[in-house]
Amino acid sequence: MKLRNIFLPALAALSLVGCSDEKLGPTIFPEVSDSVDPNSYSYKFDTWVNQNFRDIYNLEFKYKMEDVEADMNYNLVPATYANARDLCLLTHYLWFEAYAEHCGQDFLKSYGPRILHLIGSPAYNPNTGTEILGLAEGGLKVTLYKVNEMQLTNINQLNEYYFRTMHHEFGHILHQTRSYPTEFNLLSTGRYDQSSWQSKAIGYVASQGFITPYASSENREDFAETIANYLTRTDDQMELILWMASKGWSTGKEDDKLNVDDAEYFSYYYIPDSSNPENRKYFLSSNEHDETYRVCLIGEKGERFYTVAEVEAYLEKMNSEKSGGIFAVEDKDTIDGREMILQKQNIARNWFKDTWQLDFDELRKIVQRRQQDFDIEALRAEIENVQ
Amino acid sequence: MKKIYIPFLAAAALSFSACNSDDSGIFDSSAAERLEQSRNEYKDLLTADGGLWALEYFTNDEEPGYVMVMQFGNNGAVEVSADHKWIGNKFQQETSLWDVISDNGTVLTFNTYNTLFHIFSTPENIVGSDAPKNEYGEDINELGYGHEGDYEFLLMSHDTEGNVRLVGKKHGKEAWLRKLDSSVDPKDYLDAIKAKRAIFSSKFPDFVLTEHSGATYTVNNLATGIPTIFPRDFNGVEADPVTQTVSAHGVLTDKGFRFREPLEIKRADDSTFEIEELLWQEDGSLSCRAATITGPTPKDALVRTTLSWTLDPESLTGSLAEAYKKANDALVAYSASTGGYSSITLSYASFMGAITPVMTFNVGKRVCRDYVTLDFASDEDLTLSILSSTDASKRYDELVPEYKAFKDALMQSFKVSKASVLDPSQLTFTAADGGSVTFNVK
Repeated sequence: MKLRNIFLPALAALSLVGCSDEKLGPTIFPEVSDSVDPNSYSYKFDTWVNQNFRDIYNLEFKYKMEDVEADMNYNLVPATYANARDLCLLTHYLWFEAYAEHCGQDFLKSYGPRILHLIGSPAYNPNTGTEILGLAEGGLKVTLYKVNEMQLTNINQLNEYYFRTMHHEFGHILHQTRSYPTEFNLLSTGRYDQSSWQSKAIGYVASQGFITPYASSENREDFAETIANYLTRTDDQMELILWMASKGWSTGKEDDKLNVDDAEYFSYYYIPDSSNPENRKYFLSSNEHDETYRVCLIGEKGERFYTVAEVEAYLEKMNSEKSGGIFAVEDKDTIDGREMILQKQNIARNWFKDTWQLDFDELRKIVQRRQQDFDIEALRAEIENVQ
Repeated sequence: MKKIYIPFLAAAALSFSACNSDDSGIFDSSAAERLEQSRNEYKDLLTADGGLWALEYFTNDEEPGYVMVMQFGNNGAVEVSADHKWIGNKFQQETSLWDVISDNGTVLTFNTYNTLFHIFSTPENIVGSDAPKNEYGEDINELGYGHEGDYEFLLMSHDTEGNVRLVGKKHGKEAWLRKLDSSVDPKDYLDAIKAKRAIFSSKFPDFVLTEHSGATYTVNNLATGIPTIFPRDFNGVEADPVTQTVSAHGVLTDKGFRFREPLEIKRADDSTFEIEELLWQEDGSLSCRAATITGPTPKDALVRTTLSWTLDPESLTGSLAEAYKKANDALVAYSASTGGYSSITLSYASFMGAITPVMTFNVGKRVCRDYVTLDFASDEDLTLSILSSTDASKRYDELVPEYKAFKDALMQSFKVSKASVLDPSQLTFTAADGGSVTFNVK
């Protein structure tokens, strides 16, 4: 006891004298210049990045990979220089300038991420068979993966891997800054499925009121997906998802119970067996994205349909060709999926308007127009013309 | 009281030293400044004199090492030259970016993707027959791992001979940068290594490692880059090839064979010694301070009953060349339609119930065999003699005396030598009168 009594004051004395009147000297860190070396290989690109991202939006566009910036549990590789350059230009044109056109540069200057980090490869998750497309960390950093797979001539692929992901992650940053209405969370209560969302077909989840399978994982992802899909999907694609959302879907099994392995076989139509009407041959399954990176429906012989008009013409043809006709699967889930998705979009629309003073539809128009009219050569020339 | 003073003194000592920012007694500058200094030193080192280096690089535990040539520019670009199986065994060059950063120490990073180099770091599955397998031969490729190669390296040390030791930051595998003269052409450099790899004939996958004490070890699969080594003769002590076999990853370089980490080799008596890098010697062997690697001796090669050797007529010199020409001319003169020798081989066949060396003289389509005895006075000293001849051979002996004369010329004592110390696939038999002939393994 005695020993302890004396030792404590000694420690207290230490705490009083420690660092008491030290004056701060010069920094122990070497001074680092923020200018780009004119002799460097990446001088023009780095200068363009500084002028267009750092100086305007206070954003660091990190394309030279440092693995400490990423999750060390994954094996990842850097982006190629050429793809990083192109994605940088497109990010500026399709995301930052789209917002700037709508509401000025200050909005993204205030709320945009501070770091945009590019990674060349996917981040595979062997346990779930999924891969990470993007991450938003603390409202400060957005990480994009798979940059080395970029297909410049395919806007659907660009959206799937990068721009929908950017709008999705930015959606998270915005709602982490100012919450979205809690009524959004109540719309699909009890229907979120964190463990097996990845095994569900888009047609099925749409009929449950989700814009994508990932949206059905949890409510905040649902909200971010609602924003990102509304902004980036074309009218045709959005219409097709809403068409799917208004239909009934079947696993093709007697009890219609979901078996995750059978997710691909969710079908909307069936052809009855003439000898035994109870036997049904299901067809018309949905696909979140095929090799064209578009939502589609797949017909009896593997035919692909990307618009409502295409699928309706196909169903009409099938109905006339099959002697017993074709029949729609009964919609038994008691949810009006189409109405639910539109309701979620409306909540997002009002939240943008009331919380951020942004016009969700006007912003979508700008994003859609820019998606169609970007000229990568002209954008590259901006870098080439840097002095 | 004594118990009380001890903590008092300790506390007093602590209070004097606490928060003392002046560490100039140990270092002249702050930790950050020293890191920056180290960063600049390594940048200067890597870009000096043309910035050309050979990277000796290792990935996962299933693969050998690889050599690539890196040219570090002081503009932040690096030109990678490579010629490995994952890019189709074809020489290619590609430029990307590099830097030396301060991270967990001083770190060399290849920070934009380079197809030739980062292929070893992608998480995509390894495809084809190289996909990793378990002990039952089942594919255990799991998406997310790939080759598990690093592209960020801790710069550990460098020496005056131009070697920089690196350790991969994520996977921890060692790598080396070896300084190259600025005049070196990367393609020539990598081609030279390829040529050295070609020395390792697939017919002779086993080599002999000899300790200076005379103890010998069998080295298998050196050419694959993942050799196994076990003692085969150690002063009469019987070795156990199961428990005493060691295996290691290495890479064939222009200087020799470098092991990924120092390899501890077990002697037959279970004592050990270490080798890290074997260097090419003038005689074509690989050697380090502790041991030398050579290929099988001519005797080892010639007694392998599964192999077949072909006489190279172009190689014949002196008396043997004359005898061969006379015999061939005489055979053509005897029968223009049959012609001369189509080939002469040395192989093994069953004779009187035993596997026996046989010399086969193919004259046109006719096959004449002579079973022979290979009598070795040493690993290189051989005497050939006829054991028995087939009827066809005997007939030619009688009908074409020059044919017999050439056969007799081959039945004598020879000094047998290898074209390469490591590779016995080409053996030259030299007679006492200087005449010689070369046999190539089929």
